[in-house]
Order: sequence, then structure tokens, then C-alpha cells
Amino acid sequence: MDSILTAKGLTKKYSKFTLGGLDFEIPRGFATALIGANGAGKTTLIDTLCGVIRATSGEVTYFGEDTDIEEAAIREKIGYCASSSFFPQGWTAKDIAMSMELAFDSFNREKFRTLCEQLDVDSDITKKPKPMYKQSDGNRMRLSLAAVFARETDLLILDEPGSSLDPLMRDRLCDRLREYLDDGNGEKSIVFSTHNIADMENAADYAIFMDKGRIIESGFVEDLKDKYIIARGEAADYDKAKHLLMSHSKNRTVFDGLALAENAEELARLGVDSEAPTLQQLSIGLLKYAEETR
Amino acid sequence: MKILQNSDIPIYKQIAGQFKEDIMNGRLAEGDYLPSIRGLARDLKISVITTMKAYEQLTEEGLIAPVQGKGYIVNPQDREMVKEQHLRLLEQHLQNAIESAKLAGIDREELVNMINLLYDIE
Amino acid sequence: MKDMLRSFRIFTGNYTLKTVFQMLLAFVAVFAAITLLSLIPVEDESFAEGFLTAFLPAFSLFLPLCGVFLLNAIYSYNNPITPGFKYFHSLPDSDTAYAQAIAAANLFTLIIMVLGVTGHYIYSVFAPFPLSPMISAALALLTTGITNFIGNVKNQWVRIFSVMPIFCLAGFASGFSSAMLEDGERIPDTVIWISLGVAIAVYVAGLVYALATCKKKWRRE
Repeated sequence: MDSILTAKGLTKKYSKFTLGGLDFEIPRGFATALIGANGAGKTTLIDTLCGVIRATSGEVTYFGEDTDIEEAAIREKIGYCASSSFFPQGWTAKDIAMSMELAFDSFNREKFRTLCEQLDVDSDITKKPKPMYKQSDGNRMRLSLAAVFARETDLLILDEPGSSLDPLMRDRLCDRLREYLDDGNGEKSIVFSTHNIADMENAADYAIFMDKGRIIESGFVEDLKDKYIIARGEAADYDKAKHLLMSHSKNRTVFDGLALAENAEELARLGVDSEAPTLQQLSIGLLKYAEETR
Repeated sequence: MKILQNSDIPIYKQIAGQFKEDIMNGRLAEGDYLPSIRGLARDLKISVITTMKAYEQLTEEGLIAPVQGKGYIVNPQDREMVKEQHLRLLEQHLQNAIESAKLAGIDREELVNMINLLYDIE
Repeated sequence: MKDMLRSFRIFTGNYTLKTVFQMLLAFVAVFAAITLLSLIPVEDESFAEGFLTAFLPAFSLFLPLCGVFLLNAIYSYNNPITPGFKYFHSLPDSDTAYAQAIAAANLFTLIIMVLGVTGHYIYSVFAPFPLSPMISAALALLTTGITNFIGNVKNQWVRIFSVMPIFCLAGFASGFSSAMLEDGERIPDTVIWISLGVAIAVYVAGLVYALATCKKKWRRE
């Protein structure tokens, strides 16, 4: 795989939580979704990748060559934004523009202004712009996104970008992510985290599933959809099929569950139907499986 | 091109199917380039990997081929095979026409006249 | 110098300088208002005098606060609970920028102090000002110096308890000198110079410590 980012044994230890050791790759030219429940370690992973916090051990290779996130040139190429409280409380769009213009070579003020208008938030020329603490979570995220997209970057790393947005804005975000990949012509890549992949199902090419600081599965979405199936059967057949199901939910009448596609034929013989999973169904199945086998 | 997001048919199959149709009926000619993978994903509001899978399927079937750095190009199609495909399509359409004619009580002569008339207008 | 200013603006945007400017403006306005008030002829002259004696020393404590505010604004961004922590830590060469911003904040603090002490001095020439401008300068330097020492400490209690003695000291100094003034006495010059000397020493030590350690502290999380 042609990867934009490779992690080997990446570990971050806290007194009550340990992330890793993680070995994974992020494919170049695609959007990768980090999927996991709250507390799975997605934010810790993203913050470590972006140099906000430092790994306890392990190594990350960026853009195929560099391993030091302290390198300014790498940071210039990464567009990062956190899920909340990214900018100081008292700041307005004007402060953001001023600070980012000084901090990043490629920050484009006009582009920022246009993006703010498109995303319908105060820009740096709005009269009496609102400071962060007076804005909703959604507006803060929009401003952070406008700030990130106003730069020339090769890799976006966004922490829960869709969670605080309304459906319309989320749709616009997905459009913008695809536009970013298209403009990059296979060279630009995206990583975003989400605890609700249904919202961004059509924006994810590659998926990394996380549970309790570990990676439980990863791969291209279409491959994963070939690898797994959702099995559906009548409650009476459950006991016979049980050993083939990874995770399941069952009531008096029916059951369904995640299974490996290679077992589809055997399940069919037992009278259990199967269908291709959506990414949402896949993540529920996998996360449930991880929870049960922890 | 139109895509149904909640159809039973996987999106990549829908895309592949429509390109196949376009190639068969000549709307995409030999040597034409398919839209770029990421451009199409952007337009159809679907993920890049889904588009890619559609293109991979078409490549496997020999309808298109990747060109380094330029995208995917429509392969020269086997004339006989294309004709065969067209014939099958034609048969199907005529079958439908005959069925409709029977339902409407139109006899064979009248149907043939209609076809002649329409053929001339074309 | 240019880099220092650039880093300072990266960390503060328009916001912090605007706030400091507003604080200074408020400071001058209240100072002017009190001065005008004290010029109103009253029958009992001791009222104006008493007012000045009681109020102004307390108010002059505002001076160190300005400096502390500016410095703490920068230092606070090295605490993960402060909004902005993640933004600043993701910037290119963020540790260098942090060090430069701290240096710049110290410079601005010194400028504010010099302005304040000058104003204080001019004022004390015209009116019987109870607290020597040198003592007030010493207090301001002491506060700033300690702020530089504890800048990267995350524990709020440690922070509060390290600055609190200064304000107690300030209250004590102003009360003491007011009492002396009433008796027609002044704090002896030697005491003033010694306190100033100690304050300068603490300040310089704080600054050196801050600049020597802040890059490392910036990367501790």
C-alpha cells in the first residue's frame, strides 16, 4: 500500500489509559475514518500524530520519509483541527486569521474569508465578530474547518469534524472532503475520527476501528464489505448458527449478527440469510465483537 | 449517470453497469477517457474507493484500461461482441413493443407500419 | 525582536493586547477621576487627603496585575485544560514561538511597569502619595518574577498560593507607609533600595529560569 503515514508500535501511556502499541498505515489519496466509541483513544491518537502530545514510544513516518513531527515542514503540510476548544475562548475570526497568517506560510486570508461565508460563520471582516465562548459548538467547528481549509496542506487530520455539525453542514463538509481529494489528484489524504460513521459513510474510503486503545480491524471499506456479512435468521435457527456469528442481537422472533463472508454458504445451509453490511452495520458489529472479547 | 444510494444493487455495480451501457451503445467510444476516480466520487457524492472498485471491475472485464497518470481509457471493443450485445438489446425492446401492441390490440401490419414510419423520421 | 513580536501575536491575536490596552485605559481613567475628585475644594481638607491615602496604594497594586495578566495569558496555553492548547501545540516550531512569546510578554510587562512607575512618580511629586513609586515597582517586579517561575505549573493552588504573599506584602507595605506618612515619616531610602534590589534579582532569576526551561516544558504532554 502506498501510505502517507505509517505507525510502528505507537504507544501513549497515561495512568488510567494506554493507547497502543499501534501498527497501522494511512493510504495516500484516500479518506480514512477512525471509528470507535467515546474513550476508544481516537483523540489521543490524533493528538499524538499531530504533535500536540508526545508518544511514550513507537515511531510514525510522515509522507514516506520524515519521522520527526517537530519538523516545521511536516506541520506545514498537515491540516489539523481538534473536536472542541481548539482556539482560545476570547478569540474571534479576526484573531484566528491574524495568528494563522503569522504561524503558517500557506494560510490564505481571502480563502479563509470565502470559506467563512460558505460555512455561514463570522469572518475576519465581520463587524463585531463573536468570540469563541459566545458561539455554538457547531459554529466553532465551522471556523476551525475554514481555518484548516484556508491553508495548502497534503494531509488533513480532523478530530470528530462532523459530530457538532447539523445534517446540512455535514453534507457540505463531506463535499469539501471529496473536493480536497479530487484537487489533490491522489496525492492528498484525509484522516478523520467519528463515533457515528453513519453521518459520513460516503466520505470514508479506508476504515480503522478502535476499541480501548487498540486497533481491532482496518482496511479499505469495499474490501471490508466483502470480508464480512450481516447474517439474518429466525430465532429457532440461532443455536445452530451461533458458532459462526461474531456478534449478534437476538429476540423472540429473529436474530442478526456479524459473520465472516466465507461462512455465508454454511449459514445459508442452516437457513440463515446474509447481506452486505453498510459501514455503520460493520462498525456496530465489530465494536460489539471487540467489547465481548475484550 | 445516476446513482441510487439505498438500492439493493451495490453502488459500484451501478456505476460499472452504467459505464458498460455507455460503452456498448457508443456514448463512450474507444480511446475516450472515463472521468477521474476522485472527480466522479466528488460529483456522485460517494467515496473514492467505491468509484475505484467500479473501475476495477470494468478493467477486469476488459472494457477499460488504466493509463499511467492519465486515468482510465475505453478499450477497443470487439465489434462482433458489441453487435451481439446490440442485437440482444434490440430483441428485448422489440419484444416489449410486441407485448404493448398486443395489449393495445394493434396487429402485426400496423406495428410494422409504425416501425417504418418511425425509422423514416429518424 | 521582529520574531518575538511575531510569536507574541501568534499567541495573542488581537485579543490580549486589546485587553491590556483596555485595562491600562481603565487604570488611567480611574486615576484621573480620583485626581479630579481630590481637587474638589472641601471644607475638611483631610477628607481628600485621607481618600488618597487609603485608596491610591490599593489601586497601585493594579500595576503588577497588568503584567501578570499578560504573562499568564501566554503561560496558560501550556495547560491542556485551556482552550487553545491544541491549536498552539500544533503550530510549526511551536516551542520556539512559545519561548519568544514569553520573552515578548516580559518585555511588554516591563514597558507597562516603567510607564506605571513614571506616572506614579510624577503623581507623587504633586501630591502626598503614600506609597513610594520604587516600592510599587519592586512589588511589580517581584510579582512578575514569581509568575515566570510558576508559569508552567499546572496546579491552580500552587499558582494562587505563590502569588498571594506578594499581594499581602503589598497591602502590608502600603498600610505601613501610610501609617508612617501620618506620623510625617517615610520608609528609609536604604530599605527602598534593598527591596528594589531583591525584586530585580528575583525578576531576573525568574526570567532566566523561564527562558531556559519553557521549550522543554512546552513538550511535556
